Amino acid sequence: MIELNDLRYGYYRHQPVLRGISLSLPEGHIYGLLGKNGVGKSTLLKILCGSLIGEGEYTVAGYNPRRQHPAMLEKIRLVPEAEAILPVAVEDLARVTAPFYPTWNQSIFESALNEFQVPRNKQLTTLSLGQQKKALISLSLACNTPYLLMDEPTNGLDIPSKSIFRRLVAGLCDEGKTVIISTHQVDDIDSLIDRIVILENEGVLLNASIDEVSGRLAFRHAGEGDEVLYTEGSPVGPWSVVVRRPDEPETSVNMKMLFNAVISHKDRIRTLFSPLED
Amino acid sequence: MKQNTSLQWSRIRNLLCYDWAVDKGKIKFTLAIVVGLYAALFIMAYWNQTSMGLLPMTPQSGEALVTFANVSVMNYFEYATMIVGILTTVILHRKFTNPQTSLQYLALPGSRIEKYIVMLADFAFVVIGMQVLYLVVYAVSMLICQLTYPEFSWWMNPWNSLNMAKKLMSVTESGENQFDVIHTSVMRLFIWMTPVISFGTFGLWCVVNMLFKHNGILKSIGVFLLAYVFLVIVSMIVMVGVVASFAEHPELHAPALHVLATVIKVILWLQIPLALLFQWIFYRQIANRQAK
Amino acid sequence: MEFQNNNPIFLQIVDWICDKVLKGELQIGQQLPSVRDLAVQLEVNPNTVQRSIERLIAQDIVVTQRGKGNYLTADAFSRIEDFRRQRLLDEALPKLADEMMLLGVKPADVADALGNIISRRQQAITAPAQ
Repeated sequence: MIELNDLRYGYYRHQPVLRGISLSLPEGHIYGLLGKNGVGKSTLLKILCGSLIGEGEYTVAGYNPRRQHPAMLEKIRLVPEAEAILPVAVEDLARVTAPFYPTWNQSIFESALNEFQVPRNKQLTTLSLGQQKKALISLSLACNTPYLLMDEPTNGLDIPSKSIFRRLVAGLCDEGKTVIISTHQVDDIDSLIDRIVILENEGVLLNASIDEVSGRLAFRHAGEGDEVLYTEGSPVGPWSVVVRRPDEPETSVNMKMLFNAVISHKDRIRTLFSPLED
Repeated sequence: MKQNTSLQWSRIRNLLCYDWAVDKGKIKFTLAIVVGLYAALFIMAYWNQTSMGLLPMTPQSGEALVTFANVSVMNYFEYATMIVGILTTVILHRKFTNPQTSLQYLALPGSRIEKYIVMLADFAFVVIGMQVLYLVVYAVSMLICQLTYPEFSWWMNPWNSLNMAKKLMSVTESGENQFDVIHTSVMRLFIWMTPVISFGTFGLWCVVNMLFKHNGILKSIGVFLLAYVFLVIVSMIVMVGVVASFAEHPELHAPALHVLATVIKVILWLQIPLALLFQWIFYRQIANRQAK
Repeated sequence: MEFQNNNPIFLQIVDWICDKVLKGELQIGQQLPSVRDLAVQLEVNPNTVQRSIERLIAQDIVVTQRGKGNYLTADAFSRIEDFRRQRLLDEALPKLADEMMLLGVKPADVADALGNIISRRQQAITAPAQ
């Protein structure tokens, strides 16, 4: 369980990035963390793993990340957007990383490297950008920690690798795991996530399951009397996000359009998704 | 909360293994520094010897060795502490101010104190390598010196530099060449001030780092050098003032020098704990508020 | 699996499983792959697969045997068939009817065309080598 209560953070005084984030993220879900550039998605992930110290109350698995307690750190692993590429082979890196994590799973590591077809004994610095990324993702997946945070993991991956990535993450998840994927490339992971969190500097705009979204909103051509939240052109005419009518069948959720609808109708979304309407 | 400060050897070992595996350039780095330091010391010894004329030259074999041993003793603290300062800058920078490496390192399961210990081990590996090599060279040259030129062995003991200054001071009373005496005294005292300057520099560097966040290793070293030059100038002015006032008031020499010597000795003995303290403050700062 | 139509993903997975039963790729009484295996195969969240399975259970197509897994019920095939036929009548045909009215096409013409399409498809299935 990750709980944030009025979390604030600024890299410089007078320039806060996060201004009071309150969130509750129970385990057993794959969260898609969305937000415009600069709303503090990466910052939030770094705060959760204790690398940055935020203000306000926040806990991960009951620990306060700012204490950097080893028992908490061994439960959480972050795949940063840009990682320092070290002059070691990924198998050597795995050898010195594995002892830190009691949950380390060598067979996940092996199969991930095999699926991604990453050479295990070549220095990371000699690999291509995509190969480096795949090697480091394999390493972090193999840590098999209850909390896995990933910042733009599909950036730089080719199309087959994105598919392999989804398979690996889908296979890794169970009731005890919490996976948070921060991304702008929602198409890469929209089938993978089951909860969506949309962030803004001032707070959380949306924290809902995909089921809740498809229960409250419909993604289709707008008709007469529909409450339209967002519309964009498509080859088959304008396609809209509308407030779902109680009797109509659910539609699939289009993440991009949902994002735009949420950004443009913050208050309406808040009331639509407030617990009172459940 | 209490457990956070606890130490676990297995975690320290894991951190050391990780650190060693990902930072193999360290060995090359240390060797380069050690070789560079000794080459610099040797050149400086010759240059000092001839340009300042602090020692009577005897055109005999073994002279170079004596000169080297002598001048390196005098300059040891100055050069070594300065290089140690720069090394620390580089090491700390590489590990803690590069946001990517520090993020990976700090996110590894281990308490802060354990990570600090590993960082110190890293630092110690480079510095101890350098010190050990220095001590070997110093001991050998001292031994040779003792055997071949017993009259120079007095110079070899660093503690005698202060007595030398006192001795030179007493010459002032007889009204001999005052300028030379003051000049030499300043130089002697200054050598004793070098640890103060070096660690003062390090402290200043830490303060600057805390106040102004920046990335870039050249900036880090630049700040270090600026702080160093600043402190050298300040202490030069202070030293010249002190010695000049001594020259005017010969009756103050003995008690004043005694106090000064005590203060400097205390600082000298405190330099290691002070260095550790500064590093700890710096580490805490980095661990608490990383740059983006 | 490509998720393309406008149904929620969990319903597309329900259809995908039902299709497999209708095509005979999954037999009556057979055990379904585990939720995790299905999630990996389809590259989707295991919770989504779980929701699909729950829907199939609610429709008596699948039954959970404790500690063993999910099995197709004895009348899974006929249930799917009924349900899908009903859906054809309720959803696909009204859309077709709208289109026909718009274009003025007569039911007899459509029936002929449909017959042709179906016989061509059947030929393709029985003689796939050609």
